[in-house]
Amino acid sequence: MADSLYANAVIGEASLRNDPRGSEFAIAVALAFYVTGCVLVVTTGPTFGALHAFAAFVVLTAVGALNQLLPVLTHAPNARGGIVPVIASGFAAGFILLVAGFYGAPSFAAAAVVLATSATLWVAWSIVRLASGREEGRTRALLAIALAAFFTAGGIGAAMAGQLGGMWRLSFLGIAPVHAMLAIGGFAGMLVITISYRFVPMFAIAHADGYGRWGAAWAAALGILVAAVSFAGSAIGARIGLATIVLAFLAIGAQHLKTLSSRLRARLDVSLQYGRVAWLFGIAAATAAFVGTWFPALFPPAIVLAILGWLSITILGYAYKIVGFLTWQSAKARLPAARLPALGSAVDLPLAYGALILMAIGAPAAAALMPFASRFAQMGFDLYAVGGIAAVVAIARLAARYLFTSEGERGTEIEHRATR
Amino acid sequence: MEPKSSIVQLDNRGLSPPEPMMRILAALENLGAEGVLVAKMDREPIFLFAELHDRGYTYTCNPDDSGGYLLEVTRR
Repeated sequence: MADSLYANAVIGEASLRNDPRGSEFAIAVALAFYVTGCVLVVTTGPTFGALHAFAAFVVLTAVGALNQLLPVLTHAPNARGGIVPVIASGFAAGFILLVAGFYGAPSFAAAAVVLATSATLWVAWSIVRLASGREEGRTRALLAIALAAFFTAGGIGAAMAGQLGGMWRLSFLGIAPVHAMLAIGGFAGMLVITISYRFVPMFAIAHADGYGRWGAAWAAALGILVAAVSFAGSAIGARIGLATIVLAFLAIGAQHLKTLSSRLRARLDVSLQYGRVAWLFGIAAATAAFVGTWFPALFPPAIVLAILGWLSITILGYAYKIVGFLTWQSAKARLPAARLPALGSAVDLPLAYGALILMAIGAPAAAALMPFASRFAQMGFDLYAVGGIAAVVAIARLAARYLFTSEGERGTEIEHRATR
Repeated sequence: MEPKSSIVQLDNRGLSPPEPMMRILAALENLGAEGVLVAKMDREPIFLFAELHDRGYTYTCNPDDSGGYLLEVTRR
């Protein structure tokens, strides 16, 4: 049953569950990095250190989420317990060293070694798992592209960190834009695009007919590759690549809107609301980068829109489902007879939507004001950070709702009775 | 005349998500006030539960003998 929708399997079938403790650990550490990034962007501004704290958030979320999703999406073998925490710990240590290096610590060389090792292990392990999967050829191919982009971006990043740490005299800093394009677009972007093709129909309860043969996703991948390669020296190539990305993102957005319009779910849930806002940021980021090929001052705002808006808001939105699912399963395993609140009822919606509003105002304000008035741009970053931390608090409250469920509790009028 | 308490049965095993959830919601459209929907599932449809609540239904979902789950939905 190639390319059939298996994403929903993430919500059940115990035999396919995949080291949930490992995923929980990776995602918890990822959220800690996100909060760290928010604190750093408030206290020190939008520095490379803050930027790479957010990068750690994206990478560690990917480690946890892919560990959970790969077996159920592709029927790849389950992971042995312990592998994910080891990989996640390596990334966490590497990113701490890297962020510390950007703030003056003599840790770039160690960061380069630890991150390169972690990236190599994770990518190799994940590619083997993708190759052993039996379902979802398109999903596996696009995820393989994302992992290849991550490996290349990580290699360039390690080379730059090694240079900053005095490991070699060769200069790699000139290809930092290639690193950024591959990391943000090739890895994180393609990961979000691929997963969204599965999550949006599932969360909306809608058919996935509107996605066709995923041509828009392939176009996005091609555009990212062309733009990344061209950033090494061809402005025309960069424009062609970025224009392709803009058009592909518009097409993907239209496809998601078509899917949402045919949904059976009465109201869009919190994950889809976050996703809808995030996709506007994705289109804005790609457009800013495209225009930035004429006006380079727009590249930093494009990065802000991509990381703080598109990627972070998408991931935080999906985290309400992923964290909710993992902790729901954990509570159910611990207390089989407990009455658990349904997932949608356990989210603190005023807090979650309040956080989204702050992020949706703060990120574009910061991006728009960056080229002109850094003091006012900082206010946008501050607003965003408050919203981002509030979103993490909402996710933590959701997790606590299940993790601290007691046997006799009646959380809502919705009952879930597991009799054995 | 509609039976006072009709039972609608669905076998959603082997279907790719979100097809099981869509079939359940479509069947509920035609479920009488006293009706019961019983669905055999491969997995617990935990993302469906809040939707059922919003639409005024209550449910139980328990493991069955085949290794799957049996979902029963009634109007509150």
